[in-house]
Amino acid sequence: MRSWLAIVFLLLSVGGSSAAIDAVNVYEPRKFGHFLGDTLERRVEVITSGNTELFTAALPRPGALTYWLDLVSIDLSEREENGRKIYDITLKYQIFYSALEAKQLDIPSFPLRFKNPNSVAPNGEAPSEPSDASQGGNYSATVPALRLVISPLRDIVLDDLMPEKTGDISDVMRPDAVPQEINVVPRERLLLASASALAGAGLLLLWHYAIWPFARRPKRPFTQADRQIRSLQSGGAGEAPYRDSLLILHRAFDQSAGRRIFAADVPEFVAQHQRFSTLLPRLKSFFESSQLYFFSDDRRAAEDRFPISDLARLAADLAREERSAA
Amino acid sequence: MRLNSILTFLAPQRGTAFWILAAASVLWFGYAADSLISARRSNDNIRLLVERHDVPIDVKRAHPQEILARIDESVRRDHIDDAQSILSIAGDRLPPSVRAAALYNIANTRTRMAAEAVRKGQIDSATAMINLAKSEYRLALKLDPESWDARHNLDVAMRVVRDFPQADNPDLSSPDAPKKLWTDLPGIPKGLP
Repeated sequence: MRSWLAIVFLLLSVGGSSAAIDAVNVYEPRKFGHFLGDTLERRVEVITSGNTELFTAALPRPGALTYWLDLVSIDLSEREENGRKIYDITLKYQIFYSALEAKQLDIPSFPLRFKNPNSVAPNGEAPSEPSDASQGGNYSATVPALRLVISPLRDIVLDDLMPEKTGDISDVMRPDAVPQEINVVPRERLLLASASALAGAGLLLLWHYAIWPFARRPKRPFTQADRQIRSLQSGGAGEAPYRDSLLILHRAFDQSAGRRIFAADVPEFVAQHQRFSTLLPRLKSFFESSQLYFFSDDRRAAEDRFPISDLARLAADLAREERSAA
Repeated sequence: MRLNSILTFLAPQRGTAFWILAAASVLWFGYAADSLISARRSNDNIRLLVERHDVPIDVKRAHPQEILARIDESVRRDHIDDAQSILSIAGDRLPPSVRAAALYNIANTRTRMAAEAVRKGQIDSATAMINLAKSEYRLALKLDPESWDARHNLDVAMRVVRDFPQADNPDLSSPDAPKKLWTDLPGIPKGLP
C-alpha cells in the first residue's frame, strides 16, 4: 500500500567534529489516486550522531501551506539507538485541490535545521542559533518536495452554473446531512437493569429488617417480639400490658432456644448464643422479675424492679443483636 | 463452611452494606430514568424540528443531534447567523462528526444562495458567500475527512464563481499556471515589447 522511499543525505560535518547528520529517510505515501479532502501521512526519520540536535522550532507549523494544501498536524518524537539520536517526524497533510483532470502538484520541500553545541561559531554566536552563513550550510538538510497526482472527484459539466442554465444547483449538490434520532433502546435496557437492582436492594433491606414479605421469617423471634411489645405499648389499651409483654418475650426466648427457658437456663442459653452475652445481666434480672411476677403475689415489686420501659429496651436490643448476627 | 465464616464476619456490617447498596441503586435508577426521559424529549424535539416546527432548545444541555436539527431548521429559515451562533455556543461539546455535519449544512445553504446570486448577476456577494462556504467545507473536512458529501459539495462550490487563488501574488510555479508545452526557443528577444 505504502511505498517508501529512503533518501540518504550524507552530509559533511564541520572540521573534525564527530557530530553529524547521518541520514534523512523519508517514507512517502502513494503518489497517485488522491482526491480533494484526502489526508496523507509522510514520515521523516532523521538520524544524527554526536551532539547534533534537530532544531525543532524551525519545523513547519500546522496550517495552510498553500492555497490547496493544509498541514493538519506534525508530530515529533525522539529516541536514542546505539548512541545515535533518531527523530521521527510525522507530517499529516490534507489536500483541498479541486482537479478538473488528473493533475500533478508538488508538496513543497522544507529545510531541516540542526544545532551543534560543540561548534560555536567563531564570532561567538549562541550555539542555539543555527546559522547557515557561519557553518557553511553543513547543518541543514532538506525534506524534498513530493509530487502528487490529484484526480478529479466528479465529471464537471462546464455549463453547470451558467446564468441562463435551466438546472438548479441543488440537483448537482449532495443533500444536506439529516439529524439522527437518538437510539433509546440501550437507555431502556439500562433503566430496566437499574430498576431490578433497586428492587433487589429493597428486598435485601426488607429481608434484613424482616418486614412484610419476610415478617414470618424464621429465627427472628426477638424481632417479632420487639414489634409486638412496641405495638402493645403504643396501643396502651391492653388489660395488663406488663404481663403480656413478659409473656411475649418469654415465648420469643422459647422459640429462639427451641424449648422452654427458665431463669436457671439463662447462662446455658447465653453460652449457646454468644451474641447475647453483653446483655447477660439484664437477661438475668428480666427472668428474676418475671419469676417474681408470675410465681409470687408481689407483682408491684416485680414491675418496680424491671419496669416495662426496660423490658421494651431489652426486647429492642435483643432484636438488634439477632439481626446483626443471623 | 468458608462462605459461612465470611457471612458471620460480615454480619455486623450487613445492615450498613444493604443501605449503601440501596442508596447506590437509587442513584443509578435515577440516572438511568433521567437519561431515558431526556433522550425521549430530545427525540421529540428532533422530530418536530425535522418537520419544520420552530421549536426552541436549550443549547447548553441539548443532545448533539438535537443541536444539529436546530441548526438545520435555522438554516432553512434563512437565519444563518442564528445557526452559527448556536454552533459556536455548542462548540467543543459537539462530537467532530456532528460539528462537521452542521458546518456542511450551513455551507450548503451558502452555496445555494451564492448560485442564486450568480443567476441574478450579483457576482460580488456571490464571491463573498462562496468564500465563506468554502472555508466552512474545509473546516468540516478537517473535522471529518471521510465525509464524501462534503468533498463533493466543496468541489461544486469551487466552480460557482471563478477563483483566482493567488491573484495578489502570481506564482508561475503554481499548478494553475499554463503548462509549458514549448521549449523556450533561443534567439527570440526577451524584454520590452
